[in-house]
Amino acid sequence: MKKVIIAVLVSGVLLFVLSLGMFYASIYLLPSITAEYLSVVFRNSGRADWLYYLHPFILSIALKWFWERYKGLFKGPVLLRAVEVALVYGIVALLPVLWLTYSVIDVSLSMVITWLVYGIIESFAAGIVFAKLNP
Amino acid sequence: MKAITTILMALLFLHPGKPVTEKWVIEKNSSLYIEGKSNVTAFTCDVTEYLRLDTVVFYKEDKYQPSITIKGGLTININRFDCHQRYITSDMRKTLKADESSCLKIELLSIANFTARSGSQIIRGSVAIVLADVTKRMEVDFNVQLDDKGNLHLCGTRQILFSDFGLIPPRKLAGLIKVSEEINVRFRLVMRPVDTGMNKTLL
Repeated sequence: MKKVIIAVLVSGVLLFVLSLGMFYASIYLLPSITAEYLSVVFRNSGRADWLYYLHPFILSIALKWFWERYKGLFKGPVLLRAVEVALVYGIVALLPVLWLTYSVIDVSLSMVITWLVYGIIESFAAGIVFAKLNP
Repeated sequence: MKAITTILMALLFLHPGKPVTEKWVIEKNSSLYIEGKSNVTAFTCDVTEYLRLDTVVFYKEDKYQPSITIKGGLTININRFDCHQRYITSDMRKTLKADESSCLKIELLSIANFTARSGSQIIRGSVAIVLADVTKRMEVDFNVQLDDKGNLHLCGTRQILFSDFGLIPPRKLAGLIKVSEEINVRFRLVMRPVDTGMNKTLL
């Protein structure tokens, strides 16, 4: 149990740092897409801010559960297993949700694609942590 | 007796004269820009076609008055602002509370004495900016110029804060995206003289 908690925390902190890093990178690399966050469809900063900062830990817990349940299916070296986790998460979880998001919320396709890429990168990072700490 | 005569003569020659008034119409090609920036991008919102036919009256009590009093100004519908980025346009309208008070007014109050001529002159004046039902009086350095057609160009820039008007600059993504408190309001008034038979020796 202790190993599971440590893996969740390590992965959560890593995803938190990674999400901030990717956000700041996007300011410089994709400013026009990042400016879209000023759209009225996004909530203004306020009382719900903590939910945003908690999301890496929620993702970490969800991916950890998924890893424990299906890790036997992912074989091979650490990186390969992490890539498989990332692709499964991207295809099974992200793609349908983002498809739905794009169909009903006024956000650009490029922004939705960045969310898909961010999600895949984050799950890849979590996959590395889990494959290392709880193989 | 001699002293009284001297005083009367002095009053006669130093009489300040009649009040002087001039009326000008704000032309359609007047414009107003709001420039702001966030930690992601800078943006400019503008209204480049002024649709109201407002008039501006320059008034001077006497020729020794150090400044010209002005009545009138620019009224802009915030819903006509275009920030050239769809997302920012809608967000700026919301931030400026366009639903509650749709007008941004720049009321000209006074300007230091100047002579209308073709070369540009920097003249200090004061304006009242009305935004979101809050009025702020501010000093502005006007760039004043008379063109070949006799139209007067009055340009001014003033930095204001959202908080001056009780407005909160947008912050998104849990505060990761912040719009800066300062915005620049830049306006260019093109004014045509109105021939009303009034005394036209003011400018």
